[in-house]
Amino acid sequence: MVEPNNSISSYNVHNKILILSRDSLKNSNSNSLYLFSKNYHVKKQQINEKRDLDTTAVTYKKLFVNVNRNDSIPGASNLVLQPDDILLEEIVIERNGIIDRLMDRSQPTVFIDQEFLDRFHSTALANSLSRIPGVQSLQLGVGIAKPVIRGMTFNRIIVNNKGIKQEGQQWGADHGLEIDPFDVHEIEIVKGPASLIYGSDGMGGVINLKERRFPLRNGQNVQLRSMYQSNNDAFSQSLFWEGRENEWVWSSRITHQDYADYRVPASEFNYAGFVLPIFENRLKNTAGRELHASASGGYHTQAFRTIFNLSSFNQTAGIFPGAIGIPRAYSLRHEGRHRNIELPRQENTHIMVSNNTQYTFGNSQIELDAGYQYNQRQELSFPGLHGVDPNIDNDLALGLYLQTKTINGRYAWNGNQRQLIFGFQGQWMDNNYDGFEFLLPAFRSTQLGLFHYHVWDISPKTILNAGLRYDRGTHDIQQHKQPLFDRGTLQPTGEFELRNPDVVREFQNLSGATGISFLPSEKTNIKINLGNSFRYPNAIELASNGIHHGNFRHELGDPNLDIERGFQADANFIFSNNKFLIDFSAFYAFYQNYIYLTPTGTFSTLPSGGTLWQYRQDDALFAGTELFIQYELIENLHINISAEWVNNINRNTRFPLPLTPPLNLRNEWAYHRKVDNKFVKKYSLGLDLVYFAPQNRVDRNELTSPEAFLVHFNSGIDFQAFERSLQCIISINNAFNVPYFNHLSRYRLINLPEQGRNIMISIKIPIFSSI
Amino acid sequence: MKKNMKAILSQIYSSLLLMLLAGLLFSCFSTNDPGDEATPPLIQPVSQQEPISPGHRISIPHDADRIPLSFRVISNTGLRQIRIDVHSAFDGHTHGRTSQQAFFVLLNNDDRINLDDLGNPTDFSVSLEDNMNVFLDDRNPFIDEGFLPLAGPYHFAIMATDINGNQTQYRDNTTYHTTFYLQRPYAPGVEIFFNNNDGLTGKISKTDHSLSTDIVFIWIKKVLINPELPHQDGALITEKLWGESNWRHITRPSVGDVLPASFPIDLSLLTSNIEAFHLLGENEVIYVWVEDERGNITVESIQ
Repeated sequence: MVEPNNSISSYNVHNKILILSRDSLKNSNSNSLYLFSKNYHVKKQQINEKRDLDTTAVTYKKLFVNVNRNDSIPGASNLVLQPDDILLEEIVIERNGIIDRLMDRSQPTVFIDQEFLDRFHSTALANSLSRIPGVQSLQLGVGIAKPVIRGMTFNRIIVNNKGIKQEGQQWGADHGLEIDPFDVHEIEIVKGPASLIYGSDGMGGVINLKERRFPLRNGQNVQLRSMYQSNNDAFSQSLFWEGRENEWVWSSRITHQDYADYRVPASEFNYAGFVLPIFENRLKNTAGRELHASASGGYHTQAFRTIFNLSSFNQTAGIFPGAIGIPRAYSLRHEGRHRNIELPRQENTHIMVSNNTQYTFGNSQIELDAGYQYNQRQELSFPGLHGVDPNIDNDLALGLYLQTKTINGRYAWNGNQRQLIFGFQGQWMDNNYDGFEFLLPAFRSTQLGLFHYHVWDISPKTILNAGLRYDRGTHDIQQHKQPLFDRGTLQPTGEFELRNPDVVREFQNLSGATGISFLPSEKTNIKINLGNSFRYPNAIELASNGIHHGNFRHELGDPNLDIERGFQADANFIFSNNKFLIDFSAFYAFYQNYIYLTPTGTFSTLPSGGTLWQYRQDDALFAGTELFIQYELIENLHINISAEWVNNINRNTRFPLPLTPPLNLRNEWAYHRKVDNKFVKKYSLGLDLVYFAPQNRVDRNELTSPEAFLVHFNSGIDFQAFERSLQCIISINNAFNVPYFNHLSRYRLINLPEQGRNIMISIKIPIFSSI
Repeated sequence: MKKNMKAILSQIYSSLLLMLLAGLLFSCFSTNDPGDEATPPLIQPVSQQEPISPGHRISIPHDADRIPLSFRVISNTGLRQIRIDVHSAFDGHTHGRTSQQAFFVLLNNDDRINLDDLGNPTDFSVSLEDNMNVFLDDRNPFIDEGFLPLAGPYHFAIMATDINGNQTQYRDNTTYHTTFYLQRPYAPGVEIFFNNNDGLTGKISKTDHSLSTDIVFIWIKKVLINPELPHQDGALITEKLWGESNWRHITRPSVGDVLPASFPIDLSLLTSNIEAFHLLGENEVIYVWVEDERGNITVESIQ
């Protein structure tokens, strides 16, 4: 086991992790250096193998240095310790997984650590990520949100949960990520096409939820995190236990969240010519309850590592009655209770079992990820009068049940200046349904992908990479016949309507990507990536045929849709010195056969169906930029400025695509200080100013959204009490209770403003530690 | 060799970067002028003298055999389809459930006026003189011969799309929608009165019609309405229920207190202990909703 020591010669490698203490790096043979800044914004710098680090720039809490060769911890013997110049608590040099090393080569990538997630915690993980330039969240409720990367969401981005692609996005817009927001420790966000490594769906980017880093020493930790949020009186508790006994490691977590109806800064809203009251400023039936549990455990040696993961996500969340029907005043009144969950509501369950295994021998490394997922989504509402069996005795409108089996394998050979990777991905899905409504048929899908990736260190300052991928996928969608009922008597007619026929489709695709990372100077890094991404049309796009109440429309699939392909160019420029950092990314993409929903101009033949919308595909263009600037104004005081802008157009209709995020600007003032005090160890203060520009570039029948300006505060303190190191975080979101619309929110459809002021208090309490 | 390659690659990628930035600046992201292209059809009265029919919250008399229609739809780019929809509002717009009712059916209407039938696709109107109706007997395709429409509240909507797919919508009130009350002679008979001394009084009973059946449910509610939006439902102040409803409803239970055994029912006996029904302030309305065994509903209000 490693004992931190100022002498470099004393380091020891244990399970491929090297700890050095109070040191800086004089020379490293590593390729990437990630700097996690003290003010919780994440920035990254890629360095050259032989490049000296500017130690005066190191005002960062922790360094993770990727090790790109198997044969050694490169450059370790050259690490020179300069203990007094830096504020590092520790340096961790870790040999990351194969994918981790690939994605950083030439694409804009952001790393988020535990402290960032603690400080900007939200009931839904996607909301926490929306502070990152280029990332926003699609609001579907209070604890329900989907991440959006560069204007793309749903099946156009991948959430990779501990090596396994998280499923459940194919059911459309009504539910969010089924991930315990407390059970996320480290995230890597890759912006731009990622199909080469991740396969179908990696059009807009990847959110890579990393495995937890297990303790390095023998012993155990038990920790409780409690949180209260004032807006919806949310109480969250998460109990965490981790430990290590020689080569055996484990961790487990149980999380409970309970939240009431949320508050909005408005007492009424306009809908369909009605001025409807919002009683007590709270949206009826937006309460929810969640119970999640997870456990991981495995065996670590230097050459071999295998970890088993089990997680269970359970959520019951009310849906504002107006969100699936026309809101009426009398359906919006509370009945004295704000924590009751009535109809309509959704009940979501996600269970995952997975294993990550890694074996290193000689210059080679093999990784295998295997997983099984079970998604259950049930939407409950009053049985509809139209087209529904009148004798039905339950409220299950839609039940969707998806099983997914995944296996991914990679082999990497690490030469002196080259790295070769060969990989495969396989996935099998089986979807079933029930309920008195119909939207998506039963289907089985398979996907198999083979890829090769080649990394070439052309010079100490230039790395070139390129890859090629072949994919094959199938959909076997079963026909669905819906019983017909008389509209007058509501009795069954004995007849059936064929909603969708059997659909069998096969797809093949060849894709590739290349990129370069170049260090023209010690403080500058330029990355350019040319990528080709793809996405199979999913079952809902091929064969859905039902009413989407949230959008008041009948959605119809097209069984003849073809593969959607993207051709994207990315450029990323990073410059940093000891006081200043700028990170600028730009992208331009052409999408062939981009799939989208469009109105047919006719009304649905289904009762209560609204208008008929059908999936179709046309070419589309996307472009955008992200900018992040950080400047240390005085010691410990940082000013951060970030901006993101996305533009797109449907080349056929010449209209923008729907749900395009508006331009937004963020200015953060962050003060962080460590103190040498008996009680207080460090503290921080932050002021966050956010501006959302008006979004007037909208698709047909889509609402525009006005501009908004929000102010947030945050503060944190690490202190000693009861012989423990506690962490307390207090933040105020939307401090001035400003009514505003989120263009990406489901509630924008019914002119409902977003959440009002929210005071969040969180405390992390170490209950037991023997490490 | 290595240096040359590095220089070449640097040049290539620098050029690509410049091209990318140039592409961003000059890319063809200009959209169509959204003006006429994105404007939904407009639904309005035929003239100032002839408002849209049916109007907001009207009652269709006992003896009416049709609901006359009157409206005008305008589109700059050309209409594609107009839909005239009627469906029951017995359940508070959740469209809850019903059960089999002998002789009776729910009133429905699903007229679609297509592009070919429009004549002038930019300006289509139906006036009372055109005699376009929602029929309340077997001339309505949803009512078979020998069946009668259930009395009660119904939702009515006129919706339209244009050739570009722009559509009228509920959310911005471009779809015309309202509730009308279908009164029928076989539905419960309800007479209500209000005075400051006695509060809500009146009588609820079967009628003389051969298909009239016993009263099974009474729902009385008092709401506060916005006088500027008379078609709005209003905010609930208080409510009271008796009996068991045929219709599952979003905002109230289906079962209330025990109904009086004797008929006709004297409303003052039901409401004598409920203070809210003895007061009627400004902009307050009392609704009395009465159902019979077969699900016919009569709604009367007093303001």
